[in-house]
Amino acid sequence: MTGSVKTGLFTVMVVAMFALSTAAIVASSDVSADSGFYITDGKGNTIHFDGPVDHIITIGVGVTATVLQLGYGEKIVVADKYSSDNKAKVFDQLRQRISEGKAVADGTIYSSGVDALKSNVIDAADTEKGGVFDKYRDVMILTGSDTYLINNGLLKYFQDNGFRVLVWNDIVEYADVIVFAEKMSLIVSGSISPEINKMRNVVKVIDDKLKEEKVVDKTEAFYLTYSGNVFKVGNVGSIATSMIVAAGGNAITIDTSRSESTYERNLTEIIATYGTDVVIFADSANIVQKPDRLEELEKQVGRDVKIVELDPLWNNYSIESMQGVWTMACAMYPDYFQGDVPEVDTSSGNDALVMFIAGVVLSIVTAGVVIYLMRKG
Amino acid sequence: MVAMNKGMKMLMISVIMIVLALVCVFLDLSWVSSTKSYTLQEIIDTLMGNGSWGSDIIIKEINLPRVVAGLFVGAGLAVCGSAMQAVFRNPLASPYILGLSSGASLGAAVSMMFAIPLIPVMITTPLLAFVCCFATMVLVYSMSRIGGTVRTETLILSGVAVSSLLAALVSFLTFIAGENLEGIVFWTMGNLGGASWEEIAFMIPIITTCIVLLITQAKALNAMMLGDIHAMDLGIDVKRTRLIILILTTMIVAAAVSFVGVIGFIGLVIPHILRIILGPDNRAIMPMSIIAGSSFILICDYISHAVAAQFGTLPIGVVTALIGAPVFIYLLMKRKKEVGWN
Repeated sequence: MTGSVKTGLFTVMVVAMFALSTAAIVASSDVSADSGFYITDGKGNTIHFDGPVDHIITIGVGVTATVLQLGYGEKIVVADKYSSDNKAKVFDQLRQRISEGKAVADGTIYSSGVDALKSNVIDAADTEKGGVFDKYRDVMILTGSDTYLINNGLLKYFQDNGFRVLVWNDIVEYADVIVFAEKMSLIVSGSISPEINKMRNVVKVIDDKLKEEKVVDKTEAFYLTYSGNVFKVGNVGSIATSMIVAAGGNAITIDTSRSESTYERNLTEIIATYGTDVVIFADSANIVQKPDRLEELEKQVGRDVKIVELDPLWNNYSIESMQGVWTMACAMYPDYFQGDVPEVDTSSGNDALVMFIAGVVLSIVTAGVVIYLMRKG
Repeated sequence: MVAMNKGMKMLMISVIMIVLALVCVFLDLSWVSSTKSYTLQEIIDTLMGNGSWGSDIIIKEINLPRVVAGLFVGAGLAVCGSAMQAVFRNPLASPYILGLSSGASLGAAVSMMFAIPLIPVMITTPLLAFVCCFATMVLVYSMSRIGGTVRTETLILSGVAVSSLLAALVSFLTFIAGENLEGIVFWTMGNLGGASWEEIAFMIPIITTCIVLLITQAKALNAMMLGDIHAMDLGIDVKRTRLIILILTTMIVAAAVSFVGVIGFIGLVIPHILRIILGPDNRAIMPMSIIAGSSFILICDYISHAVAAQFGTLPIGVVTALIGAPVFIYLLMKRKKEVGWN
């Protein structure tokens, strides 16, 4: 074998090895070299996972809905009562599992239900009595205010009993909801679900379209709820308000001088200031589904103002929030956005692989040509 | 013969009620979830130290404190109820007639809304509830003193007035509670699970001592049921006895309510039921109230958990009211003498 042939073969080998190793890196997911991963919760606590969990405990409507929407409802062994009571269709699977005895959901983080919650969780992890939850591999997700999780010692109780617990209770932005859903996806499946990309994509689609249409004056809108016998508008700290911004709207009730996520404000004054083109995204359960309140609202803002019903699951740590963002965009910019939540354009991902393969082939062909020429020479 | 029969009857009733109480204890200890309960054998094994990791926690750490708290709170409130009905000669009297529950609720609401300096957070709620309960009794008693004497009618009226005022304050605090709303509302509905072993250890001697002392006043209460004048004719110091009963009752209610919240209808209904069975003699009613009150509250606690699948764990005050109120209505529908009052 001549020196030039050796050189050519060596070149091909190096190219092939580079190509193979690069392909391996490109094909790998978010898992680290040891196939485990770390998840850090909203409190800064980090837990290592060898892989996706076999079972999960979800305390909170949003997190339960997220796991169900990701398609891993069969891993839920304990949920909270508010999840099982929620009438949304997504919880049907949970109710089915409860009726089959594969899950329980008797308790809540509140004082009246905390004993039942503790019993459910402890029993689920009591392997001597048939419990399937592995405290050392599986995980519990807690959501709720610090008053009940931290101050009342609930988090510490479960940690002291050996449970791996992750806590989220400070998600106020749509971007944070996406990150939360992404982490849930990793926990239950070991990979990032396409639904997560869809959540990101919806914001991108809206943003791109508004830029394309050169929309300068954003539609004015605000979130409205009802509590303490008064209507309250959304502020910084309200997921729904951040969704309005993500949907390309101008959230006119943001008041940084206030710390509350919702506050009382004169609705008639808002309409008088901003006009009847304002879009109001109103709580479903508290306002839209209550005829008296809806009528009272229409009295205050007039019947010309568009009032859009906000599903409770949209305003939560839930994959459904992307439906909320899209609905908001459709309501604020009906000329630009209609129909279902747009699917992710996956062609760019496939294009990269195709291009890579093409490059490898070209490299091999080039090396082959060079070797041939060298031999011929 | 008549005395023996009466004695045998009392013995039989006592045995039945003790067995019933034991059944209630084991029933309440057995609850795990809406789809699972421990068997009697599993409970005994766990209590003897041979349980699994999970049953140890569920039975000993979660259920047992609740059952023990229920035993003493139920007993205390039932005995208080029988004493109050005798003192006020009023079948509608309950341990809360003097506004004690409203006072305790106000203390609890204040503790949940505001940070109280110098008091450790863990004991703020029970401490304030206890203090406000006692302060309410002092206030009502002071208000009802006329010329150095206290009449039952003025006591009741003062209690109603003070109770209304305190309830209004609690409502106001509930309205402005914000994220503390749930805590205040559920506290006023009662929760046996709210008491830790340390708090139970504080509660037990107070309730036990006061129950024993109340029972020693049973004979005097029998006399007071005939009216103040007749009681004085029988040698009873009505004023002093009334004050003693009020103090003991307040201590029991304060000790109970401070840690588990307001649980109603036990003190109202249990004495009435026992009066039907045993007659009007407080020497029989008050000791039996211990067992009956304990059993009733434990049954209600079990029911509050048993319906968890449908409604979530109900606050025990809701269950005692849902069961106690219809029973009370039934009793009211019967003629007065049939409920053993005269």
